[in-house]
Amino acid sequence: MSAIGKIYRSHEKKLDAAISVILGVILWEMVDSLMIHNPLVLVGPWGIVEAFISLLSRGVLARHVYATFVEFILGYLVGVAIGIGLGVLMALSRTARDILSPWVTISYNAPIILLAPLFITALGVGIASKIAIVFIGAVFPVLFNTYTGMTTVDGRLVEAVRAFGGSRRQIFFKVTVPGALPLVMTGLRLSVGRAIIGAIVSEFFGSRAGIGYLITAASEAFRTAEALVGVVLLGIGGYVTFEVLKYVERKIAPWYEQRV
Amino acid sequence: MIAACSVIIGIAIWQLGYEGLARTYYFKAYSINHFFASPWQVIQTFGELYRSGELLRHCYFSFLEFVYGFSLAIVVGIPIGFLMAVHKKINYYLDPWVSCIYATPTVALAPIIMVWFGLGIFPNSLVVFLGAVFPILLNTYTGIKSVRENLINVVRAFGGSPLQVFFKVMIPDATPAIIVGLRLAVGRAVISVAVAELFGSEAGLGFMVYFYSQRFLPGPVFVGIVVLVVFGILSFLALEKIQSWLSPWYTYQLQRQVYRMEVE
Repeated sequence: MSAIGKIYRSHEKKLDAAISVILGVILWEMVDSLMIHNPLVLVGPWGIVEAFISLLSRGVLARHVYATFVEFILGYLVGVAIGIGLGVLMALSRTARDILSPWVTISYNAPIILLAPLFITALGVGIASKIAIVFIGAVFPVLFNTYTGMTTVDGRLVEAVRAFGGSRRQIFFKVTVPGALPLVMTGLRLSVGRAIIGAIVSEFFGSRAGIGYLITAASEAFRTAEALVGVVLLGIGGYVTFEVLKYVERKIAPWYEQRV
Repeated sequence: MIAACSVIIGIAIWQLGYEGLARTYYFKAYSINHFFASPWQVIQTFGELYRSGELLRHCYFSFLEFVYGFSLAIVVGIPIGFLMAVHKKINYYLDPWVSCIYATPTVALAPIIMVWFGLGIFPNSLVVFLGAVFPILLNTYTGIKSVRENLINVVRAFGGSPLQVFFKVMIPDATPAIIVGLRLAVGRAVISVAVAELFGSEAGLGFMVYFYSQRFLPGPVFVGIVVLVVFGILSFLALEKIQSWLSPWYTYQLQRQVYRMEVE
């Protein structure tokens, strides 16, 4: 008993999480199959797995995931490149900052996703409109965080480098860039969420493929299980990207203390 | 000052560019007026929609959905975040669920929620709730977790009761982080209102945007966005005001630390 108790205590967090997930899934399945047996209303975990296998074996799922992935990755990469570029420009040049900052603040806080229907009427139901919306979703968090990161670098560090005769160039590469990195990474992570939302919502409105299309098409046909497969996949995708970026952040900026 | 100039000049360029473009061949050829409006057209559309009472009706519906969803998110998010912070077991059990759902873009649930609950204010409020609750919950958790231990010890050492620790130390010390969570949640809630309405509803700003964009009338689309932006900015300023009122000691040194929480 004590041996088991010891093992339990040393991995308490992970074991509790596992117990919680297992209990939750069992409860969900029981409610589904014993109390509310109506595939329209509630779909149990097993129903989702079945729908997943069926979609996978018909080859439908691969097509949708691929479409969303391409939209996501193209829009995201362009957004990140332009976001970092403009962020650095704003941090370095006063004029650029003065001109751009009101627009950036407005766009960062505006629900630009509302432009999605307009983009679709303008650019068509193909991939171009989705890339544009993903780009708009991804660019502002990166831009904003790059700018904030570069301008809130600890002033004492800059002074120290300057006091020992560091040039502007050295200050930039040895202090500003490393100091800004953690926030830039945070911006990249934030952008992932917004980019996924952009891809999905734009697929809701007009598309021929993609996870968003799968979700709407399935729920309009009252195939709730298939729609939930889409949602679960999005959750997993978001989580994995998030963790990968967190790992990269720890690798390239290990000196930055993790949050409490 | 320069910011204002930049905005004014930008809008002027937009207006003039639009009018210049309107004279060219491409404008007609690509029917740009179906996708893009000039600032003046947006103002005119705003006037029309306002006079006909349509805009106010949509604003009213969206506002109701926002208020219902957001209040529910506060009522649920803050207590659960608090419990997770003070009770280790609760944290361990709830953490996998919270982080899973937090990583999922909750607007993706909107179509399914429409299937479950139909159209109207209630299902849309539910989408708003799902979007807003997690930033509030997680920031409350972080805020309570990062309450300074020595402050609690001081109150305890002088014979403070648990209730006093709660009201005099934990709540005030966690307030800035909680408000940051509320601020984040406002942004998400506005997006959720819009997306939920784009989908299935009979009224609301999102509905207005979708309705007119399908009829190739870009004016109301921009009006809808401008209204939501103004709403977002106003609630942001209001929360900032509340923050400086509730926690005046909140200083710049804390800002970067809390900012980091904000973006997590």
